[in-house]
Order: sequence, then C-alpha cells, then structure tokens
Amino acid sequence: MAGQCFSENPFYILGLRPDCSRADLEREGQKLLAMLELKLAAAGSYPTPLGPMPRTADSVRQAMAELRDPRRRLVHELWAQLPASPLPAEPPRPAGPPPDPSGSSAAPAADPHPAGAPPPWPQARAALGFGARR
Amino acid sequence: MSVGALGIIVWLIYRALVHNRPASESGTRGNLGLVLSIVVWVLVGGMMLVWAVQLRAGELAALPKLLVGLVVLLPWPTLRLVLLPLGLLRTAYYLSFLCLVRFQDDRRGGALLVGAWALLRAPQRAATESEPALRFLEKRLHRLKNLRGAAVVAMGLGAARRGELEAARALLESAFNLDPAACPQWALELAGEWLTVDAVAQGSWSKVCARDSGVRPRSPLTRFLRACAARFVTPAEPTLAPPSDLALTLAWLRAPHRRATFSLLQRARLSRPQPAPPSPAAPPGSPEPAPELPAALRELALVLLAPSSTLTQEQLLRVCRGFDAALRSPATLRHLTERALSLGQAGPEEALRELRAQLAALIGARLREAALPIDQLLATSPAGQPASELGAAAAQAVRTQLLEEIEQACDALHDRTTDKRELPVEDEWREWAALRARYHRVSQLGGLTIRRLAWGPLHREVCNWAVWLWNERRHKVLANAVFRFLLTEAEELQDDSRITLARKNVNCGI
Repeated sequence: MAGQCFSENPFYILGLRPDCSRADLEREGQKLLAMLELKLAAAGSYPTPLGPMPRTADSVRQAMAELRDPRRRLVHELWAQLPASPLPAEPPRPAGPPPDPSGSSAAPAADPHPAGAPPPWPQARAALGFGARR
Repeated sequence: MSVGALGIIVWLIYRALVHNRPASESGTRGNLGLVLSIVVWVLVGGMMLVWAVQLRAGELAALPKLLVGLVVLLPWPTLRLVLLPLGLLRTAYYLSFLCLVRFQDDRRGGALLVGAWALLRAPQRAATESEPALRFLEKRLHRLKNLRGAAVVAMGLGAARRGELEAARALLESAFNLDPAACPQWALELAGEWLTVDAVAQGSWSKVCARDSGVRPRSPLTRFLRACAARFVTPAEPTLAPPSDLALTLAWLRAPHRRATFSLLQRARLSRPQPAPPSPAAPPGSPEPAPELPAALRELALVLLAPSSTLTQEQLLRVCRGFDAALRSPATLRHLTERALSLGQAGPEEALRELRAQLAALIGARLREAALPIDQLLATSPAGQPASELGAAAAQAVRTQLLEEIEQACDALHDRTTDKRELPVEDEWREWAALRARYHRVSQLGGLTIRRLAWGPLHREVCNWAVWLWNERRHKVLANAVFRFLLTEAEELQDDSRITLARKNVNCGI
C-alpha cells in the first residue's frame, strides 16, 4: 500500500506525538492493549492523515517494538510530523468543468481532465453497445 | 423444398468448392462466397416471392417460411439488430456462418467474434453466470489451427466480458499489427470502437484523439467520438482540426446509439478546443515551497489521497521540491540533530537517508499508478542540476523497475523459445499482447531514452520467438503481426539495421 508510512505509522497507531517519552509509549501501548482485549470500540481505530485505520493488538505490539528502537523511531518521527487529523480528500481546484447542458447524471465533482471535457462515463460501454443494458 | 434443406445443399456445395484450398487463395474463397450469396439470394428470394403470394391469399403457414427466408437473406442485419442486442450467443454464433461475404476467409473466427460480442451484451446477473458461454467460446477458439484477426478481437471481447480490461485492451491493440489480409476491416473497426468507448468510459479524451490516429479503420461511432474529442481537447495530431457544428451533427446522425450520445453532442457543440498544455519543462518562475517538513508531508498526503487519474507531473514535482527544501532547511536539520542526540544516535543522517528512500519509493509508486511520464522529474537545468533531487531519485527508481520488467519478460520468452516449450496459439497471442502492452507502457512512462534501452532486448527475443513461430510452428499470422510491430518500432526509433531485417521478415507474408 502506497501510504503505509502514514497509515501504519507507530505514533498514529499509539495516538502519541513524536516527542513523547519512552514511559508515555509503554503506558499508552499497555492501555490500548487492555482496551482492545476488552473490545472497546474507542480503541478499534485510529486517525491518520489518510483517514481512520483499524487498530489491532498485533499492530499495537509492533508499533511499540518499532518505537523502542531509537534508529527506527527517528524515521517514524519524521513521518509523524504531520498531525494525525484527516485531510480533505480533494485538494482545492481553481475551476471546475462547465455544467452539462443536458443535466446528465454521470458527472462526478472532480474533473482531472481538460476543462470542458466530460468526466469519466463508466456506463459508456453498456450504453454504446459493449455491455448489457440494465 | 424447405429453406433448411436448401440451405444444407447450398452449404455442402460451398464446402465442396472451398475444401482444402490453401489460405493463400483467399481471394478465390471470397469470390466463391459472393457467388454463393448471389445463388442464395436468387433461390431464396424467388421462393419468398411465392410465399408472399401464398400469404396474400390467406395461407398463414407461409408466414414462418417468409421470416426464415428473411433471416437467410439478411443474416448480418438480423445479427446486428436482433441477436446481438438480445445477447443470444449460440444463435448468433451459428447464424453468422450464413454471412458468406462478410466473413470471407475467416468464417470460424468471424463466428467467434459475433459470439463474443453477443456475450458482451448479454445480461450478467451473477459473476459465474457467463462461465458456460465463455467455455463455449474458449472451446471453439481452441479448435482453431491458426488465429486470424477476427478471433483475436473475439479474445479481446471475451476478456472484457470477464472484466479483465487490461488484457482486453492489450489484445485489441495487438490486432492492429495484423496483415490486412488476415483481419477483416469490420473486425478492426470493432476493436477500435471498443478501445475508443473504453477511453470515453475512463474520461480520457486525449486518448480518444491519440488512439485511432493514423490509418486505422474507423466506425461511425468512433468518428463521432473522435470529433467530440477534437472539440474537448487539443489533439496531438495537427491534422485533426476541430469539426464544425454541422460536421459534428452529421457524425452524430451517422453513428448508432444516438439517444445515449445526444448529451455528448450538446456538450461538444458548446465546447471549444482548449489551449495546448504547458511545456513539461520545470516552471522556472514557480514559487519555492515552504521549507517545512509538515507542509511537505501534508502535500504528499494530499497526493496520496487524490485519485491517481487526477494527478499531474507538476503536482508530484511540487511535492518533491517541497521535501528537497524541507530536508535541506537548517531548522529541520537542527531539530533532527537534537532528536537524534536525545535518542542516543550519532546524528540524523541515517534516518534522513531512509526517509529519502521511502519517499522516492512512494513517489515512484504514485507515478506508476497514475501512469505519468518520468521525463519531467528527470529533467535537468542548464547547469546540470535536476529539477528535484527527490524527484530524480523517484524517477530513477521507476526507470530501473520498468527496464527490469521488460528484461524479465524477455528472459522468460527467451527461455521458452530456446527450450521450444509450445503454448496453444491463443495463449501465444495472449503472451504477445501482454508483452506488447508492457513495452508500450514502458515507452509511455519512460520516454524515448528508456524506449531505446528496452528496444534492444525486446527485439532480440521477440524476433527469435516469431521466427520460431513462423518456421517451425507455422503460426504465420501471429509471426507476421509480430514482424510488423518490430518494423514499425524500428522505423520510429530509426534503427536502420533492424529495419532491413524486419522488412525482410514482413515480406515473408502469412
């Protein structure tokens, strides 16, 4: 997965800031393991800049092990400089495509294509003779 | 005499006439088909007149005979207007054998293509529902001794039905390398139409313009979509001028599926071609990103969140330059040194090296997902400095991966050719289509330099393999298509020594 450095960052998994102490790390890790043991919903996921990710006891143990190694911890600290709060899914765009004059329903919001060109038309294959019509 | 009995007699005559004729006598076979069609038209047409008179006299029993006669006289319109839209695979497959002129030398291939097209249009309620139909086609495909164009297009449509769109694209693209005598024009039109519609489905209008360029045959639907694309984007092909409103409307009127494409027509009429995209060279006046690691990480996270189809080279270059600036900034280095010392490390260099490697891998993966060319990231300033150190590292990683992939594929082909491990001809074709598509992707992503690097091993192994196919296995149509591809590529790369060889091989014919 392309965004593993963010989504599986041990600091995000443990819900800690990069400047936390070793004691914070152990305490938070044990607390999360206990919560996961009790199947508390609050411990079931953690926020990352790419959105919430599922948390498991294994991932917590692995995160603790990673952060106990000072060399590995320093690399993870670099990645965790970005706060864990989720980012907006789409970067702001200067201009959108012109509205479809026919009011066609197949018009997603983001248009990666040249201004004026219609957005992807996933039903095109079926509508133009290369798929079953529904 | 019933229509069925008459059909059988005519068919037996045809079989007797064409049986055991070599493939080289394709023109004779086509003429026989024409003569036979005229005979069928005269005989069945005469009988239909009699049945029409009987029907007029009140004999209702003549009605089914008239309908059957109509199907015999007009098999292709029956297929196009009735059986294909209904998705009746088997009926379409068998009826297509009555299309004596249209399918000429490749009746079985044509029937397979009609069957695959019908299957593509058949409703699919469950994933496994089309398995028996696909097996029906595969079985008949396997029986073919030599694959020709229609069968290759049928394989492509079959892959599309299975949802293997990449394989379908590769197979249908490979059909355009076939000798014209081995592939009916309408099959190529159909392949081009599917590829164009596929590009429209992805919203890739520039691909609609680029595809179908040159001398490819075009169906009315392809022409209309291409005309729309010329309105939406600035085509790379300078001869493709944006059509006038009248020309656009006429193209729409000629094309099928007018109701489905009406909104597209309206949109195209309102659009005017966009100005050409900016030069891929690094923008000299673009502002330097803020040298802060969180800002650079934020930019990267946004790039990771964005759908890959929306990414541009400029976005990725900006991310790379952001990291270059952040990782060079004294504030970042000071902070990192402090953290490294507090953790008992000698310094931050090792962590920075690892971070750079991870970033290069991440950006490289994103480049590949978005199918973006790497040339802009590899571009250097007049002083020889790369536009971005991180970008150059990512592009180099992608470049190495691309070349390794091609080399692995070529090595596998080399081993198989040396060991003379044969595959069924349809699997040989699938392997060729996959390799061709991979080479195309490498050329597209890597630019001319990598294309030239990949060309050497590709030519060596593919040429040897095709010679083996031609000389020993007698799969001349496939071998000739490969030779044609090699010739086109050698000409585009101006590789004079290989042009001569490829011309000689192409002239060996099918």
